[in-house]
Amino acid sequence: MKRKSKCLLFSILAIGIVTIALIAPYITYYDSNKQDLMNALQPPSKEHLFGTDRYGRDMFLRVLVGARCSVFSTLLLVFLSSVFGTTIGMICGYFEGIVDTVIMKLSDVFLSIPGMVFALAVAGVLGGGIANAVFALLLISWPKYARLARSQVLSEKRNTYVDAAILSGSNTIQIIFIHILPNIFGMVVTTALLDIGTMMMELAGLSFLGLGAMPPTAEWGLMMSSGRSMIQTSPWVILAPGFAIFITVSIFNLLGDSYRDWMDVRHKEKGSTSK
Amino acid sequence: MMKYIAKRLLHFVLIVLGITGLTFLLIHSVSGDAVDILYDNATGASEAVKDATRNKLGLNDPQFIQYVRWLGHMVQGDFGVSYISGNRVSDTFMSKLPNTIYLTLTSIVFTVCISIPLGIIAATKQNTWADYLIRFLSFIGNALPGFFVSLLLILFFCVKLNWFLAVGGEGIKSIILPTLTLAFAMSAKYTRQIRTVVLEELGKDYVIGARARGVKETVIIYSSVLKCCMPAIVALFALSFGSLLGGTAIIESIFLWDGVGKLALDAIMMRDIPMIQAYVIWMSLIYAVVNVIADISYRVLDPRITRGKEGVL
Repeated sequence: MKRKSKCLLFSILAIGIVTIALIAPYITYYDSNKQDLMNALQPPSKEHLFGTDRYGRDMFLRVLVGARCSVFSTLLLVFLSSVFGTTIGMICGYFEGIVDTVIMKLSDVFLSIPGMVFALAVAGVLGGGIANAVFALLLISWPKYARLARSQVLSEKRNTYVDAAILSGSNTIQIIFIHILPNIFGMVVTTALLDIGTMMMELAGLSFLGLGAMPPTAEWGLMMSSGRSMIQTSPWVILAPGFAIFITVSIFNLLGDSYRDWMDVRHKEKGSTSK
Repeated sequence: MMKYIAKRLLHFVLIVLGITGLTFLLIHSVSGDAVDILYDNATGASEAVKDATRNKLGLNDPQFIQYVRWLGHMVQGDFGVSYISGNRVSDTFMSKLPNTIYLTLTSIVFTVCISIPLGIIAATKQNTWADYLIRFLSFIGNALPGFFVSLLLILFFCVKLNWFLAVGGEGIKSIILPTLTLAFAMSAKYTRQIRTVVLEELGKDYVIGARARGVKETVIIYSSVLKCCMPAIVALFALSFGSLLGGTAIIESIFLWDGVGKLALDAIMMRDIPMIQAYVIWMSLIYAVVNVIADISYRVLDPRITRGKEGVL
């Protein structure tokens, strides 16, 4: 029960961040991209909570608005790679055979290239832009889900409920998605939740290098990169977005950890009652 | 054992073929026409000139032929000529590689020195304040991106304390901050994993048996438990070597460390395709070699492992 409430607490915090990301652009009365050169590089004050950057833009506002780009592109990325990878993996695990061998060898190759190295090259060759950065990270993150789903399906399909479904005339798609998927869903969600933090940091890293979001978009990695040269005189321009990343990643990591713990307990309880 | 090594090497060759194929395919399919990029700045280059260049560079041949030709050159260590500087890619690359390897090795040494003792302390003192503190620190380390850590270190050591120059600098002083940054993130990850591995080992029967016989706790941990954990720890380090190789790129560019990561990022900014290809392939090769060595070495470390049950390369 304690684990469940812990998980609930972090879900609420995570939903809070997503909500901020959603509504931030609408509740602010300044334009986050509006320049005000008279007030450039002001230290944090009552009027500007996190200070201003070199164009006089309010940092607090930009951190809030930046949540949108950083959080949503990460969530989209994790969603796409988990759905794509899981689907491929389930098909491989269910049918086995030549398609399975080929796809698994391909995923071997993907896994044997250091992820960030490949993402840098792909994002770099495609040119900047947040969509290209998401695509680059998608390429390196799907094999993990494919392997997980495949191994799960391989063990699940030996269960009698799958035989029962086949006997009762379900077609293959129904068996995979209606009967097997719910049983491996928890595992996939756990992996995806634990992946959000890492992916957010890698996406911010690509933006930091100029291979992700483009100026003047408010994006945390990009904001830190453009504030780099002012670190001596006005450290707040990198501290504010940096801590925004840190807090968001922490919350999603805690959510992932607590969800995993909760699932473990549920799994054990289920196991003990059925025995 | 010899048979296993031979099998492993064959697998290695197949993976390398896969890596080169994938890199070639992806970079060629997304990069657009190299000749157009080449003549991007030279205004007024006519189509005839461009086509002649394409013929000269062999870009009008089918993709597969281009791949085989490229692979053939590459096996001989020829990665082509940089679009930007006109120098041989492999010469430039090889001159920067030692710097990156130097940085990688110091980071690994640091990480080993931090994470193994901390992981063991956290496991043996499970659920005490020491364990909680170590877990808290490793949690924080896991949620801080490398580039933020490096900026925080610069802020603290260079701006506030004035101990180092933020960029450049010479000798031993210039490597401290990049090493600390890389070791920080890795230690956070490994401390947690080593704690789990050691905890699992501590729960085994032989530990209870040794305790019952009155063997000293330190002897149990350092001569038995640690020995049994070694294969798992080696595997962990080998598998995460890849993220270290990628991570150095950002850190090198922040600290202006003159290694291949910075070289690759500069190449990316200027769309120097041969250089980018060389970077991806070399990093993957190093990663693959490290994994082969690790695979073989934990068979040496742990004779119980049955052959044929190896994991991913």
